[in-house]
Amino acid sequence: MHLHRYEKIWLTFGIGSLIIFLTVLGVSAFAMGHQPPSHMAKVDPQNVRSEAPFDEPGLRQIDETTYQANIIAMAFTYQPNKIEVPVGSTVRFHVTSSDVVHSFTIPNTNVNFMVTPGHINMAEHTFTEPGTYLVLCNEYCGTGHHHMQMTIEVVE
Amino acid sequence: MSKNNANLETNKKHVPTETDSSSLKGTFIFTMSIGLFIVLSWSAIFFLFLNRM
Amino acid sequence: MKNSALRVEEYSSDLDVRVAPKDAALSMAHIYIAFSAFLVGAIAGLLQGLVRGGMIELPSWLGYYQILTAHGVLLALVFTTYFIFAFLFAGMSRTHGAFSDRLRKLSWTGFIVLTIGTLLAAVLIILNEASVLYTFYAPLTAHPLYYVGLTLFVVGSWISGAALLAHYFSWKKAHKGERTPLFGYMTVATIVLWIIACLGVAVTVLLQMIPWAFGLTDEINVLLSRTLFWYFGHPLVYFWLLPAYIAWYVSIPKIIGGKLFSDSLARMAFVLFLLFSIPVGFHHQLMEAGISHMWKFIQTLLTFVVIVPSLMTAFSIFGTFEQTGRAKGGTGIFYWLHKLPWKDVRFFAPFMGMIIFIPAGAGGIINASFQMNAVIHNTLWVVGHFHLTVGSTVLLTFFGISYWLIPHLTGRKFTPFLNRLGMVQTWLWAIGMFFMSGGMHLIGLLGAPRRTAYTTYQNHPDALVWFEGIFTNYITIAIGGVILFVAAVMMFYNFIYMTWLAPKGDTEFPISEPAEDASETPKVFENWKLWIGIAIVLILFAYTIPIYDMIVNAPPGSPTFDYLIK
Repeated sequence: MHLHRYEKIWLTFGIGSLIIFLTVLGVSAFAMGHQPPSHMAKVDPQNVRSEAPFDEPGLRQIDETTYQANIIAMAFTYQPNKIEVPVGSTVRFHVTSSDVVHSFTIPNTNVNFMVTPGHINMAEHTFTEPGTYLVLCNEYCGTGHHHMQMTIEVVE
Repeated sequence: MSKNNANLETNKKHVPTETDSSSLKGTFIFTMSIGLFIVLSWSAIFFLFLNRM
Repeated sequence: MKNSALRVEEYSSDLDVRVAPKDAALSMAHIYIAFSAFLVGAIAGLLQGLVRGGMIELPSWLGYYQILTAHGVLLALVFTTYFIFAFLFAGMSRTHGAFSDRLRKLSWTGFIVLTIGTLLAAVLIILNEASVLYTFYAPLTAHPLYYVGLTLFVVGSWISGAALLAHYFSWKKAHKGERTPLFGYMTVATIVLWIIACLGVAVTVLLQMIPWAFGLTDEINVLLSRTLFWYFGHPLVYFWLLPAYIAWYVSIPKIIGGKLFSDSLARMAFVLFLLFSIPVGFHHQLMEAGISHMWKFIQTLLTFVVIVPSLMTAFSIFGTFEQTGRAKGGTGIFYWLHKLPWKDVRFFAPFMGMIIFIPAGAGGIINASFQMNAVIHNTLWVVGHFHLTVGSTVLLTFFGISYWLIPHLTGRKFTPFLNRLGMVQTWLWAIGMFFMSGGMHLIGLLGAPRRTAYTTYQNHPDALVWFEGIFTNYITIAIGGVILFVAAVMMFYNFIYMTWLAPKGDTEFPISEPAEDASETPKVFENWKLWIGIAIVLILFAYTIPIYDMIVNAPPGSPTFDYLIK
């Protein structure tokens, strides 16, 4: 089988670029901790409120600037559907679903993950600007899907 | 002599046309620009990702 | 100019080789259903665009998610599958001789089962009993019979696929030691890919969803069913793409008056697709819990391997163009481009599809990029992406195929009038898609969700931005959708014209002669047992441990949720 000289250069360049992409992604994920949300914790989806931490959904302060937000996604809202943190806070979102598949998505941030029943998924974000942040569900979850939202107040 | 010259002539003409007709220069430039486009658009989104962290 | 001008007499070359009339009838049966589904699906698409832009409201008896389901099922599943089988049946008859009566009967059986499944699913969508979108993610629950319809759809496609495979292998038996025609080789790769891919969706539908939806089991393992779906879902997109590639490799060289650049590279590309397009489904699940980083990364790596045959295709196809242009006297680095038949829609529509595949492919690499997927996951960017891949590259190529396939099958002429209609149709499609898909990509980067009816999220500023930009605006997307709808109606008219109105005559089914290097193609490419074996090893490697973990360490399952969709 014969490869033209130009095709060899093209494939070397193309495959080389792909290897560079993978290396950048791999280093960023495995060495610097920017992993995709892949939390392994599990929960009974029909009894999410019976065990910690979802028996008391809401915000918990961990240290001076770190909070954990335990949130239940359900058709067609989140519980709680409003939280408030001071500017500069880092919030760890722990989210599960009490019914179907949802997402937990804050536009213009990297917080955008699936919430599958039976699993707890998580992501972390540091809010450096004050304002009212929108959280929305971007996985179709039924007739009221487009109403599903909550807000995060980041205050001075 | 003249016969030889004629042969040389054909050879001269023949060689460049063959190179030209089998050239893949355009294909090469075209595919490499696809590659460049891929690298640029990937980098743009990667920087957006870093920026949003 | 002479070369690029439309010359009708050229369409009547190579007419002695035809699709056998009985096979043509089978192929046309598929075409009728394909284009009927196309028209209804396009209407649904138009309505969605207008609703999301806040320009119209649907009547109370028609739900947004109902027409969204209809749009996805009719265009992405019904139109594509029926058109692909129409093309493959006709092409196999043209290149490997008429089907035997036995195999033709088998093909008709496949068609009937496929159609019963389609009608069952369609009725339930119309009744609003199946508004679960074409991905039907559990635990949202459709009417149990919807899953039966999907099962029949897959079974029908397997029966038809078996007929195609049998036809190829009986040719091979009768022509011992000969290299198989490229069309048949590529058909086999496509069908084998489809059959292996469907195993995943068959397992989740038959063993998980049907017992659960009928109430025989109480709970479903959601993560397992999503994983089995995406085991199927990614090779599904290659099942759409590969027939388009067949036309690029086999028919386009003939249409432009040249021959394929390399036979062995073409076969190698298809083998690579067969091997690497299946063990990659996790790149659709990068943002979900319960699958470890390591397995996600391994499948990301395999996803990047399946980009390589497309890089090869870019070189092969453009190389074919350049060699043909130069053989016709073209010179310079790019001046030979003038020798290509730009005014011939049979070339121009697929060519436009190829050009659109550049941003489509670049977007696909971004989507599969592991943690970077968070930027675009489930946003409108993704919708923009697959309207470029399947909605433009594949569809424009299928339209390009239609212009010779349908008149060839109906014994009519490809006329200059039809060519002009086709050229306008192609431009309208490309322009409409530029606005719609371009807008979707950018608005997706601003967080606009996919699969979501009109909403401003209680006038939240981050959501209002989606209605305020010049290009990043739902209205721009809707305008693109309107242009696309006009193009779709034109294409439907072209189908009617080619089937019943065009003057009687003959149209060529273009099949390129073998490439120069065809005699050197290594025999190993024909060793299907080897390729299927490697494909299975790769699948087992990529999926065994994570799926074992999903079953053994499963959380309690989920009950049915059918009330949420009504």
